[in-house]
Amino acid sequence: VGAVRDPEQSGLEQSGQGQSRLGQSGLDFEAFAAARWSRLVRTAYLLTGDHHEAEDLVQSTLAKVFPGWATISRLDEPDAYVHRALINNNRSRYRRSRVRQLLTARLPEPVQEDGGRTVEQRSLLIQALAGLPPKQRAVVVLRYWEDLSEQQVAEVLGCSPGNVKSQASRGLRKLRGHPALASYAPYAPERDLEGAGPR
Amino acid sequence: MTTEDMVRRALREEAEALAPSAWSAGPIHAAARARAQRRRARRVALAVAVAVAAPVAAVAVLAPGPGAVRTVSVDAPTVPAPSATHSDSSSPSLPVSRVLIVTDSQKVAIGHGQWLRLTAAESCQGGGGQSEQCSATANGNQAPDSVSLRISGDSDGTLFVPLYIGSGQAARITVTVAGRTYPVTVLTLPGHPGYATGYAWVPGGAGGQESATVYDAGGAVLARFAWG
Repeated sequence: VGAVRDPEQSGLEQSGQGQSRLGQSGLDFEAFAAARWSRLVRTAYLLTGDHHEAEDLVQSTLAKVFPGWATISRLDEPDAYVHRALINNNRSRYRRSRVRQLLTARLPEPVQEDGGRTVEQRSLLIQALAGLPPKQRAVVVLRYWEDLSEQQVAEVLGCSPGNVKSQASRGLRKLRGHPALASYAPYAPERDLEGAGPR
Repeated sequence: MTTEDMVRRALREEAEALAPSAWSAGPIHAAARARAQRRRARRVALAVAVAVAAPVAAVAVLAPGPGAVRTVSVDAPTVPAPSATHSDSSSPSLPVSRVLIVTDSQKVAIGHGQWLRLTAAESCQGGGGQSEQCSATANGNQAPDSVSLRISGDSDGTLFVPLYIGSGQAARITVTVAGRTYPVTVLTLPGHPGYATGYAWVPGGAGGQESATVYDAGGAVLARFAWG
């Protein structure tokens, strides 16, 4: 996955009218996006904790990827590129949302009674994930939901495998005592935490 | 079961319980187009800024000191103060509007001592020594999915106040005057009030070919009105 680059800095979006949907590998953008859509939305949901925000995040990520698809589709692993774009996009969204709370004149929309779930109604697991710092949350989601290796997660996040390992370990430690995992816990006291780090 | 296994299983069950909407390429293409438009608009704005700054810098370098300021103020190209960027109407890029969500009955200063005030039923303009003038937004007086325009002015410029009524969400409004397109600062109430208004101060007087166009976030035209 050595060819993975930051989509914000890749300069791949300048293909203009030449934004072919088909790369040389023959990987069609719409076929790729259609095949990955559900999985990406689920990943984004675990990253954001909100269904609609997750779909918006994936749409905007694919929209950023689309203009450079002719080049991206020729990478060894376009999926890794898209994952990285998704993570970076989510990071930007997170930063913007924090600033907006302080600076915007925009008022919150009234709560929809029949709309999306409120914070209180969100699942325990989403609450547990919300308690993790953004990078740790991304490591946990990529490592244990996407089943990426430490090396792959490190390439997506632009850090070292050792850092991924420690972030995953800390994330697991925080999640272990959360009620979200209570129903999965064995009856016997757990003694495996030391060996529970990513392999 | 290890903590790792528990987390894997919990994540899988949580994620798989989610039912994503059906895949559609339309929003992706619309978002990509809107993004490309924003990038083009930024390039145009940058080009205008460079074009304005270059002669200013040249004059400042050639004639530093108090006199240079007067020279620049006379010789430099006139820049419309309230809407610093504009583009030719034939350009594919559109100026970006600022969108302000305001509270009901809040008076929003729009420059030159004037203000706009929005309620669920009307959009009102006042100040500047003039009595308040209101346009109904919910009584059917203006056809749905249309844009109207109120034009006024003073010695410093012409004020355009468009009013869009319709089910769309106005994300950008422009007025085109004498072949130049200016962004309108969009004002709307929270949620889906069914209308949006805004304002743009344009240097000089009104006249000739003019138009107002309302776009949604994807760049699609919601309503257009041309006259002259």
